Amino acid sequence: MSELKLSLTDIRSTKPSDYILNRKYPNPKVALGRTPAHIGILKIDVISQPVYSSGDIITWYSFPHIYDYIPTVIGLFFGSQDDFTNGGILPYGSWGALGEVFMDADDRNVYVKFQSFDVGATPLGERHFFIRYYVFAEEGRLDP
Amino acid sequence: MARVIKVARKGFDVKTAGDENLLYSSLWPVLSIFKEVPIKITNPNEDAIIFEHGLGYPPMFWDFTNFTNTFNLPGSSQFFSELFSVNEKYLKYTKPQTAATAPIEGVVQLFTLDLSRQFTAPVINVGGVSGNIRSSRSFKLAKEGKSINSTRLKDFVITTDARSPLIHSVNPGTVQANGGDIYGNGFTVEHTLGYVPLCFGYSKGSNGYYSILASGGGGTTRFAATPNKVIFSESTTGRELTLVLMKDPFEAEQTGVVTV
Repeated sequence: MSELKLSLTDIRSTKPSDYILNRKYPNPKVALGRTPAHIGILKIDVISQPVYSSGDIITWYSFPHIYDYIPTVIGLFFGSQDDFTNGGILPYGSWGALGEVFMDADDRNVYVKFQSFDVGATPLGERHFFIRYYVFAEEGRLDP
Repeated sequence: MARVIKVARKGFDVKTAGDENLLYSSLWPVLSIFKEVPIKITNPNEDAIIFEHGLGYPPMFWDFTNFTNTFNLPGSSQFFSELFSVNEKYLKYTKPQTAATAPIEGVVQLFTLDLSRQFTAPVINVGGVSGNIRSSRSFKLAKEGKSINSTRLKDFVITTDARSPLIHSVNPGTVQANGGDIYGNGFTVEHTLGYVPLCFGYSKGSNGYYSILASGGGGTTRFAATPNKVIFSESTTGRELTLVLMKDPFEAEQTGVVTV
């Protein structure tokens, strides 16, 4: 079997961390040129002060991906595209004990969801933030 | 003079493309998957060693499971469950604080990147020329056992039809007093990218295991970033952590608006 390896240091190295490209170690890949886009930024505006019951998981947004399996999706957030403070990876939990925002995917769509922890009486306060997401081609569920 | 191999993303001229618009360069690593570990935990309320990776160093990882904070979602996969951690030998599962109600399923991607080793890539050409290059050429490398003619993106190691995260720097460190911003204590990584990069944090526990750093804005930890530094802040000192900066900028085309 043919091999292709490119190394940061010595091509004879056997340490996986020394390679910048090796056929044995694929890279997570985002498909380009897709509609809806598989890489981008979602602007999130929570303004209606919704009230959710405890345990509810609410879909706020979804878009179809192109795969016939569950892909892998990651999301990172920041307060704004001009002010990169208060950032991190999802889930976004600025409402504390009320709940949090996360992204997931199934074999059809990618979702932005809110999971409620609250007993169901407190409205969510106004929030504005951005989510940078990647939909990778790699599978999000593999059978052992 | 050192030889450099680089391939530009589709639509970009390799001679003028910014670093962040290269498919890869021999000057820095692309995020590479060492092992995709299938996850099916039928006793989710017990800790377990899931996999012996044997790398000899703690690898960067991402986990994707059907578990949210308190629920198992059927048929779905979410990033970062707070259930997994790695050391130089093992991938470990730690039971959730709220008992899981069903088996936990998904995958953990263990990367080749060493979280304990400092690395900084050079900054060669930020920004560069916007892509407007029409070319019928492409670059593809198929995985072992897969055909170059496959139409499935997951069958390739790398391809100009896709984009993969590029590593800019790996920064092990410790949260110091007065090393952060609003919380005072923190760990600051300076960079020369000139834009706000994507960043992932990994926290090293007292048991030597690294877990993905939770920074969801609901507690007393947070990330802040500028075009020349990334800051992790929290209210206490002493945490050992590693910040991994990508060459990918956070700024991107806005693809949707979610109004609730």
